[in-house]
Amino acid sequence: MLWRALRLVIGLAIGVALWWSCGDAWNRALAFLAQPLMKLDARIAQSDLVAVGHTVVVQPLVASLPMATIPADQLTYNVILLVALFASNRAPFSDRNMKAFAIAMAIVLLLHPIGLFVSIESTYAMQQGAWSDQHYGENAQRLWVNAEVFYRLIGMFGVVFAAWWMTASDAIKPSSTRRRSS
Amino acid sequence: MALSRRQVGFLIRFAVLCVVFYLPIAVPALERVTVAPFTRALTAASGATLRMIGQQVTTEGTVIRGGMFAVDIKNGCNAVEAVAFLVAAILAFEAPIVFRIIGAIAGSILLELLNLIRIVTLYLLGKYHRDLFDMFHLAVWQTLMFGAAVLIFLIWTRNAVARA
Repeated sequence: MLWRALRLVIGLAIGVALWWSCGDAWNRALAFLAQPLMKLDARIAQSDLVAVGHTVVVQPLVASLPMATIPADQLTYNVILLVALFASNRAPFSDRNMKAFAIAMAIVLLLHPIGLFVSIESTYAMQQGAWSDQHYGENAQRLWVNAEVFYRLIGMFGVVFAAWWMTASDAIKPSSTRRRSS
Repeated sequence: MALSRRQVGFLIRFAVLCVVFYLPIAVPALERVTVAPFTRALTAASGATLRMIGQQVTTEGTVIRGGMFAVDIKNGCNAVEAVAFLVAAILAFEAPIVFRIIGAIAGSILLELLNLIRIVTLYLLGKYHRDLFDMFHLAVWQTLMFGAAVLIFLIWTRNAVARA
């Protein structure tokens, strides 16, 4: 278990480097991928998502919609945990582990645009002063804020854990699960 | 990647319990009587630890203040979310209930002790290396907390299964 912990810490360092160095590029991809989701809500549909450094800016196409800046890097750093968890597996560079890592990474990255959309909704629901009160009811405000806080506090890491649990080899799974299921 | 019914069941129970344990954070009336007093106690403990290592700090509510620098401990910094994550995983796992309860309590204590170290190091980083504070506050320590939660969970599953 000590070796696993050591591999986890090394993976964490690699994950931080990856997240830090690829953050701006991924934010651009994120803005592109989340753009179609904006059409789901007519209140904010008239806007363009533009990546600016570590943030994504919601640029309104109509004067009535306020602008918003979303710290997108705060929605994507769960990739660090994903890298760390797969690095902690036995034989981290084996074909099996790398394939599982690719699948898990795809799941996590595909959920990032949804996380960004939820964060945008939460920002427009609560942080735009009178505009928020005019366009969102009390229940809608509560829903979006809780959805964002849940994603940020537990959901983004829960997704990583689930993706790792589902895709990694049997070696990481508790022996009872392996024995009983066989 | 084929999952057994047992594994799927674990993931569903884990997801449901994560939502259930999120309620004390989300519902203000519950938050006031559970998470808020805990965070104030954690702030006092962190302040005491900082004073033990020679820092001139005072605490007030959830704020630790020392000279030109102060930190405010909020949800996300009190490790309640990492504890909720760990307890959800342990309770969702099929093991004797006594092992689950012992694992959940012991794991939560370990995580909160680690969180005390997090708060102390973040305070020191903020005071002496402000340039590193944001990265460690946002990414490094938060990930470490959840990484530690997963490690504790794996250690617990091994021991729980061996004893069972």
